[in-house]
Amino acid sequence: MHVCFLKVAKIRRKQRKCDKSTVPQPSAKRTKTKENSVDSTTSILSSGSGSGSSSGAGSRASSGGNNNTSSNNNNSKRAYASLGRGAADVVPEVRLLPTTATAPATLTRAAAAAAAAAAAAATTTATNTEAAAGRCPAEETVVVSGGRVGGGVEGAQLTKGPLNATNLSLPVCLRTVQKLAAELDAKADVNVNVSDSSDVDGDSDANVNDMSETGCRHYQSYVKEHSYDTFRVIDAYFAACVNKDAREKKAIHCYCFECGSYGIQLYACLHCIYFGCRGAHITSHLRAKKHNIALELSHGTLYCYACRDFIYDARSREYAIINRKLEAKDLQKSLGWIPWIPTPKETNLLLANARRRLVRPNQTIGLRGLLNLGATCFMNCIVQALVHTPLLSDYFMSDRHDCGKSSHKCLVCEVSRLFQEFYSGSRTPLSLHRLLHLIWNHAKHLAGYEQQDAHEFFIATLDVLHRHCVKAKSEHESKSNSSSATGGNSSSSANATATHSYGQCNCIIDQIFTGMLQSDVVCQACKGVSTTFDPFWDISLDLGETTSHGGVTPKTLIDCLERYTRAEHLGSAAKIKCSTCKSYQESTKQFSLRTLPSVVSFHLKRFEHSALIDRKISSFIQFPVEFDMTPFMSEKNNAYGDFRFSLYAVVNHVGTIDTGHYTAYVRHQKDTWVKCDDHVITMASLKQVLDSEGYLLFYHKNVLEYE
Amino acid sequence: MSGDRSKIKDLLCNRLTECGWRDEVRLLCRNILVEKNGNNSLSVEQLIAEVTPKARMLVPDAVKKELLMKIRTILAENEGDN
Repeated sequence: MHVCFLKVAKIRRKQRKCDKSTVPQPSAKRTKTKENSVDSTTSILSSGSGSGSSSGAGSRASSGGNNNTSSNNNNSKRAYASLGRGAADVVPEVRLLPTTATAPATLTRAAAAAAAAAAAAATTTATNTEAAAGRCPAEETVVVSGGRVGGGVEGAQLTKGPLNATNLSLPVCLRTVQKLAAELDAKADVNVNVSDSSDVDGDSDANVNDMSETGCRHYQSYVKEHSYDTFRVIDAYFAACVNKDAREKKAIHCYCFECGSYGIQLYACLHCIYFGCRGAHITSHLRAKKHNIALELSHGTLYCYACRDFIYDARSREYAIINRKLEAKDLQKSLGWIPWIPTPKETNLLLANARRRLVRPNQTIGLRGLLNLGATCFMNCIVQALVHTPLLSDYFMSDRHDCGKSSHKCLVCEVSRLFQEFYSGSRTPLSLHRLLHLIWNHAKHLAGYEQQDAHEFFIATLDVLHRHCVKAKSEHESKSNSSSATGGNSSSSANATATHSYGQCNCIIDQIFTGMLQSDVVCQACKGVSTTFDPFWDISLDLGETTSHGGVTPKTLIDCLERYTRAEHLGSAAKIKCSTCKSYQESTKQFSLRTLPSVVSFHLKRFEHSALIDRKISSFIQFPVEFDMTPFMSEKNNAYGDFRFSLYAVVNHVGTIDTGHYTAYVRHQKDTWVKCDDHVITMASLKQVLDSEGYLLFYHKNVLEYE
Repeated sequence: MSGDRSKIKDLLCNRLTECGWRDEVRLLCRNILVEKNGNNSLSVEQLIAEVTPKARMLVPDAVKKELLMKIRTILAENEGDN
């Protein structure tokens, strides 16, 4: 069962604000970094990054009960995932509905706790080497565990052995932690954006009101006796390590008092100073001393021995979040994964919009017919192709475009709205008049009522989208920086980068569609090579007879690409000045693909315009469903990465060069193809798709690399 | 004291979230609970014992390798310093 819901998109905005810092954009891709070049054969899918943000945020907000959820776009992306990680069903967080029974709540929690534990296990496997490097020979340690840490000065306990007495003075540490927390608070207040601190407050209110996350009765009585101070200090020093001093203390003192190991997972007793490994070591201590509450140090979760379970307490969590923030700030690292807890506002929004959407295979959600507004089929087919681009739908369905007030003029906002319309579940055809009007305004050469070329429209749309993305971003930046002196600078620099090269822009359009073409010009005299790079959004392929190779006509997409990347003799009429031999020489020119975009679109040049005749080439060009682009890369032998692509949309043109009609085949779900002919949408078979003529072919990358 | 350990841990957690491992393990836990938690008797320890080996197998090789490389680099750097 998959549940998808769209209304939540708006609600998620707040969540995403904190996600942004932690979760990389879902379109992580193509840039090759050294640390990632570990293994070219087993590259990691970042389909997970999609589930980290979009499905993560989405599914957690599901309707209670036992629905395994997954957002729809996530699902469709999986269709492209060659590794096919099986986590299509995501466990929903059930706590936001007050009516939810306790059983599923504990169920989820236990799952979370176990996941945390397993994560810790994984941590250790990976960091073993490091631990070994810093490990001291374990000596027997004698623990005096009678004294209480609560409130008194007698916090110091003795451990014998090479590690000296842990002079952990609670009041001193508490003061440090409080001071740091106060500083953090103050900083947050100074910031224009106070959402962080207010979020924390809002969250805790929600906890107290709706979920009564007050731990168990043992923890309550523990807190009554000892206050939160011990927890705060232990968490700040040994779980989160808020500063250098804390890291030092942890490195020196934090090992199992029973076996001396630095352990997979250590627990700290909150009643006295005692560290113990998960399992027998800590439990035997807790049993012997009749202590109940311990803190798990890898993730900072509270454990109650009396309940034999992890417990959750709202106020402790608040302190823990502050500590995590301090740690993240001190080490300049990310905040890590924090479960989404809806604020009261979000809860109300969710309750007010109770409609949830169930997405099953063979469902039509995501499909909408498009009205023909008078020869606008060129637009309809491109819109269908764009809406069915997985990375693009991930972006828009997670509501990432943040535009200022100019939203009615912004094409990105319009496309964002279109996505909402497509997934609204309504079955009536849509009218794209607003989109058309925006394109007319921003790409003057397309204005007017006659039939346009779909390819031209596609490129113009990308261009306008790209420009509006950059504009929205620079406006956003200048707004947020308006108070500081650098505001003007950054926005102007953003404009500068946008104008000077669109290949370096990181807007969603360039992240998905921009590749880099390499052209090598080889001087025939000295064999010197001069190389230039050009960004591209699509690859236009000639279909006519080749002139130089005996009049062969290409029959497949591969033929076309081979022809495209073949060395071409420039002839005696086009001599180029060679930079090495400083003279005009004959030369050859060869294209190759330096980097590939996540979506490669091929444009088969079926419309031939020459001085003599304008004609349409209707020859059949065979194109594959799965396509490995490695042979066409510039560095095919040592190229890092995976260049396998899958077909997901085909735009066809029927008719003559003067008049005709555009239709599109799009992949709706894995192995499900549909034909979009304006307002008529019909099921199609893969054979139909492959037998079609093909004008624009859209391929999506199977495996996305990390940035 | 440089915080390398927690930075590496941070990287690992992020990678595991990105590659869907976290979701998979959640699902795994959930399925086990649905299957075996008939009368709410499954304890956290039992759950962990059941999940850990599977969860460990699910960690993608690429993540392990990246982490290993990272740790090697850091160790090499530290050796160079001393």
